[in-house]
Formats: sequence, structure tokens, C-alpha cells
Amino acid sequence: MIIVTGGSSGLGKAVSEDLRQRGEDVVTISRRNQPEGNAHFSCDITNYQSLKEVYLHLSKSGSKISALINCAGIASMNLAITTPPSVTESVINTNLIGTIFSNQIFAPMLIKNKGGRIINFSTIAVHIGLKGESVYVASKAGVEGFSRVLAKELAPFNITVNCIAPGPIKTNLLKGISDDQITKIVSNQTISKIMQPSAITEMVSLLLREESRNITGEVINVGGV
Amino acid sequence: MLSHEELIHVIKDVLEEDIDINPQSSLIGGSSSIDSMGLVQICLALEERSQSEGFSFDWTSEKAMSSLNSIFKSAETLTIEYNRQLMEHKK
Repeated sequence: MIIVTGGSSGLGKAVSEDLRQRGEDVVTISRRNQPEGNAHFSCDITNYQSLKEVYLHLSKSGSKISALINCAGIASMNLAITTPPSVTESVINTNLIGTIFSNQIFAPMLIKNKGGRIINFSTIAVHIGLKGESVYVASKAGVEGFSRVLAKELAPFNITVNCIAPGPIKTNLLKGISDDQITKIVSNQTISKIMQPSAITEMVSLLLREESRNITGEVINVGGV
Repeated sequence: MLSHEELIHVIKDVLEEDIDINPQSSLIGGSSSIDSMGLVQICLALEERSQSEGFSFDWTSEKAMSSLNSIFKSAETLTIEYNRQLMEHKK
């Protein structure tokens, strides 16, 4: 079974749907309710206790987890000094603290399995220092740092931890970003084109493969920087 | 209830080693022969046991991580904390 946080929208939805199409058993976690039929927990990842309850439910039911993919995230385009405190808190809470909570809570399930994969999501904006995304970049830079250390801590258990850092992908996260801005961001990529969600789902699939067992502690900038 | 002997058995079983350990042995710190990864595995084993007893052993509390009163100070303190949570659950 593979856990995908933020699995009901955007990249998380694309990732969970792709994995299901590949025959994987996927359970999604997000704040939204999910239509019946798919394994889903409605839960806010910034709420440690709620996430813990999901863990206990899965653990008690004897679910074996082979991978954890943390896609849940929010974005906010704003200059650093004009970002309202509530937005700063919300972005840091969801992107950084929520991701840390999810890793802390679900990694033990991978340890029990003596192996597995963790994929966290960053952004190419960390590497290029994108103007107007300071708080978002700060949250994702935190995710990268956390992932590098976690990779070392979990290596003895045959668990790899990596970050995928996409550039602009056509999802709701891009709402409010003009085409001009998107073009500028994309021009910083080595492959200067707007990627489709499939570029990310393929990268996820690659990292889940047995052949990727020695890739850990890395940040993979999709499209290159 | 978890006895000291049972906990020591769990520890040896998890670590797959016949280490020299008694109820007063430190589980963390320089004098411990258990590394942090071993400690995680012991906690998971206790969690598994707790679920068969109808509760879930919480080893991530502030108290667990406190350096002065850590539940990992010794095998004895870990046994006491496990049994405390068990009793709490039975209330």
C-alpha cells in the first residue's frame, strides 16, 4: 500500500491516479472528502493527532506500507514584506510542519516493513530563488533539509527519502500566477518548457522502482536547473 | 502488565543480540549499548504489543523526549511508562 497526502487535488491527485492505474494499492489523505470507492482519509496534515489516528487505523488493520508520498501543499505568491502573518503561518504549517508530521508518523510503518520509499515535494523555486515566493520557498527549503537528514536516519532500514522539485505544472497551485511569470520561471529550467503532470508521475514511478534503491537524500529538479 | 524481564526479552529479540542489560541499564546516552535505530525498533515492538492489549503505546510524547525524565532513561522507566499507559487505557 502507498500513502499519498494531498491526494485529492493537483499533483497529489495525478500521482495517486497514476499509481492506481499502475495497479498499486493507494490510500489518500487530504482535507477534502473523497468520492466512495477509493481508500481515503479526510484529515488535515497539520493536525498531528488526526494524522496519528490515521496511522493507528492503518497499523491496527495490519496494512503494510511500501511508500509514503507527501504531495500536500499550498502556495502563495507575495513579496516577503507584504505577506500577511496568517499566510506565512499557513504556508509553513502545511508545507513544512505537515510534511514533517507525516514523515514522523508514517515512517515507522516503513521501518516495520524493513524498507520502503519516501518522496517529499519541494519546488524548483528553491534552487532558482524565485522572487515573490519567499515564504513558499522557505517552507520547501525546509522540506529539502529535513529530507536530507531523514534519509540518513532511515538508511539503515533500507528506506530512501528523496524530494521531487517540480517547476510550473498546470494545477490549481498556479492560480494567480500570470503566463508571463510562468514563462520566466520556465526559462530558468534546463529544459525550458512547462511540464505536464505526467513528468511528475513518471518521476515518482521511477523512484519507487527497485532499481532506485540507492538514490536517497536527493532533490530532483524536474526539467533541470 | 509488562515486566522488566519481558521488556529485556523484547529488547534482546529486537536487537537480535544477547546484550548485557538489566532494569537499571540506560537505553539512551553514552553508556547505552543501544543505538537510536535500535531504540526505534524497540518502541515499534512495544507498540505492536500494546495493540494486542487494546491500546497504542505512545513513545512520541514530550516526556519521552525529555532529557531529565525521559522514559528511555532505563529499562525500568520504560516498563513503568508502558504500564502507566496500559492502566490509563483500562480506566
